[in-house]
Amino acid sequence: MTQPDSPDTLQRQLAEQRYIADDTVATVAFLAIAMRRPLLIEGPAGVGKTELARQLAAACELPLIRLQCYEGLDESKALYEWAYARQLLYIQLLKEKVDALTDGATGLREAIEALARHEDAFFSERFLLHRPLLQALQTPEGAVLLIDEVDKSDPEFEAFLLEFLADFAVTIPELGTVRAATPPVVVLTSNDQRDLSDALKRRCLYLYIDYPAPELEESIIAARVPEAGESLRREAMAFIREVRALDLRKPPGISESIDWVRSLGALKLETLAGPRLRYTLSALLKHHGDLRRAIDALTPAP
Amino acid sequence: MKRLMADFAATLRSAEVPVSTAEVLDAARAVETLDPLQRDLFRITLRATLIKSQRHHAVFERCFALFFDPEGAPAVAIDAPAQAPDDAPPSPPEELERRWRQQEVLSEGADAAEEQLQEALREMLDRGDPRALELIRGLATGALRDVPQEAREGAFTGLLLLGRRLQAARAVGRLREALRRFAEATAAERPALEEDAQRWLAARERRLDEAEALLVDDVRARATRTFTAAERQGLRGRNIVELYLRDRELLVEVMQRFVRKLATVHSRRLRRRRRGQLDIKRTLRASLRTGGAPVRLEHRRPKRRKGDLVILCDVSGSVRAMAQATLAMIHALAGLWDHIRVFAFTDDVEEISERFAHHDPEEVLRWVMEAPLFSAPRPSNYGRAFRRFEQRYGRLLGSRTTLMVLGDARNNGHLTEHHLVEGWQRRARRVLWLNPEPATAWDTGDSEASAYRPFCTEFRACTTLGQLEEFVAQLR
Repeated sequence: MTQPDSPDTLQRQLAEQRYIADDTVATVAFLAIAMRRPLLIEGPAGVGKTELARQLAAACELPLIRLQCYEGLDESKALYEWAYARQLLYIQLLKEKVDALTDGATGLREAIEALARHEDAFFSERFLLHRPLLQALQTPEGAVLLIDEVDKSDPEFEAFLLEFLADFAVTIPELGTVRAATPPVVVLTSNDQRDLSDALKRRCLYLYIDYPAPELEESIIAARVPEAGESLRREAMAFIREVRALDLRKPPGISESIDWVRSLGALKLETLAGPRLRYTLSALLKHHGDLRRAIDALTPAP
Repeated sequence: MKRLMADFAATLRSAEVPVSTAEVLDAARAVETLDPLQRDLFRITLRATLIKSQRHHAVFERCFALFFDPEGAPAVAIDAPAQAPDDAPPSPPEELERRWRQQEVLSEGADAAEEQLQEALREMLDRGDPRALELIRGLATGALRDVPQEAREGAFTGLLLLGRRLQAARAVGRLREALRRFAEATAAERPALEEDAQRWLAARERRLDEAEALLVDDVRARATRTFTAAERQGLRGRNIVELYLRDRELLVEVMQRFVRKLATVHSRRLRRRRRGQLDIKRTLRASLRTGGAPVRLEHRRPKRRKGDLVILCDVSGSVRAMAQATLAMIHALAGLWDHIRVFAFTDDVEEISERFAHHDPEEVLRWVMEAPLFSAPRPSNYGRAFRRFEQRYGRLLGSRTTLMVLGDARNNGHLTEHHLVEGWQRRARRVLWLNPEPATAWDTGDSEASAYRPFCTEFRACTTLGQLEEFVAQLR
């Protein structure tokens, strides 16, 4: 891996990957890498929380391992699981060998003892399904582990994460403790659906990404959608500002803005003045009511 | 460095921001990884390590400015009074002036320096003398000028300074209180206050504002707004309507706390019973993976039997405050119901559900507390409003619906139409009525509480914050 040596370096690297980070984002992300502290990112949807993790992985040249949280997510989906089907299949195929093992045994107890001596063969790495958290520990050069939307998971899972993040080690009863060779860079994102526990927050660095300031947003769009001309971009930015000023259920975030400007490019629009504008807005607004409102207020009648 | 961090953390804690020791150590470590001479880097680093919620960012910024920027903050407008000669108090009515001098300013628990400050402030207040302002600033900050340079680098300076400013801010607060009492007394004596006397009072008020701005009132007003247990208890006993009229900001703040708490408690309640009956079908299917042995039992997710909620709130006059506070709380519990419909009424009914459903909780709270809920406020007419509701929305009430009425049942002598409520109770799951007036006031004047009460599953008084909290907490 390559580790950036200062926030400025990181900021430049990210910019090369066309991710525009302001000073706060760059500094905190740098600290997360340098100190190997988990980074908790909060902010409204579509401001680039997940994208930041992806770009950090690219900047550090580490693989990105992603764990999407949802209600009901448990350890067997997040950490590891025994591959039961495979174990059974092997037993079926190797029936003769199993028989041979227990051949000399007289009585049930002895047969079980004989078999138990070979239990290790079935509870070994071979039959372990590696889920994201375990993968992140076992990648020798380290990894960027993205735990997305952690606020959607259950409190029990959060408590489990706590243990995991504290020492980057996991105990599998049959195998022993797996410790990370290189601790992964952990990024957690949350949409603030509920308050995370204080204990979890305490272990993390905290970064809040808000809707970007107009200049920042313009440079982000310029970087991500270079094919859009400058005049169109200007016009689009002004339009987005007007849209955000409306009373909307979900004002467009930066990712919607990028999509929308891209869609303008795909339609080869040179200006927003035409009647087509209203059909492009569905890239920007994802609620029927919002769309109606924006069309009524901001676009010319067809 | 660790010492410095610990002191800064103490300042944050005094502003009700939770900061743990582990975080302080983190901050110290993080600062060592970076070049601490870059101010912004330093600030961002501290924020990322010490503050774990966006809600605390503003407080952090203020504390940071105070702590690490001792000279920066108060340099705002030292000669403000001189700048604005128009603001000089108009030659005040002599009598007012004389009586003001006799007005006592309380100063419990103040030491000599603090009293000195207070006197100086009063001096400025009376004369509008710019030098007085300078004196205060000197007292608040300049006392530290003599401290040797090396020592000033340390955190101690920062803390001391903070303490001084808080003292000064407190003194301003006391003066303001004194002025308010004075103004009230004057107003009580002379209901029609002469114009120049009013100006006299206004000018003094303005000077206090200036002094306060100079002394970083923000720290006092917001950061250190801490509620002790006793105060919290006191708040629960406070009358909602009175709080709404007197100190709306405080009400919003208290509500925010309640709402946060409710949302957390409620999500726990829903989670507790997540497992339902054994699901044979899914268990069998899962057992195929293990060669037919049911290693993993699958449970059915219990279907949440939620109902619908229809809220009818009287938004005329004094009921409004209670209705707003209740709506804010209900919003925090929106997950308890499948659908919530909200109607505002005075003498007609208007649906306001859409606004209610759309925003995030903090914003709804703000909207509910501040926006006019009804386009044309008129005196309430329960009978007419109920009739209109029955005609237009009566079909909403079914066996799964809870109807909640928020109102004082003061009907201005119109028809009560209580038979409608009787019908609603038959059709709906239940009818709950919250009355912002205490039970002693029911049926006095034009209150028709008794006409409606027999037809409600529950009819209760909801006067104080505590009563409201209690009601909402057991709602489901």
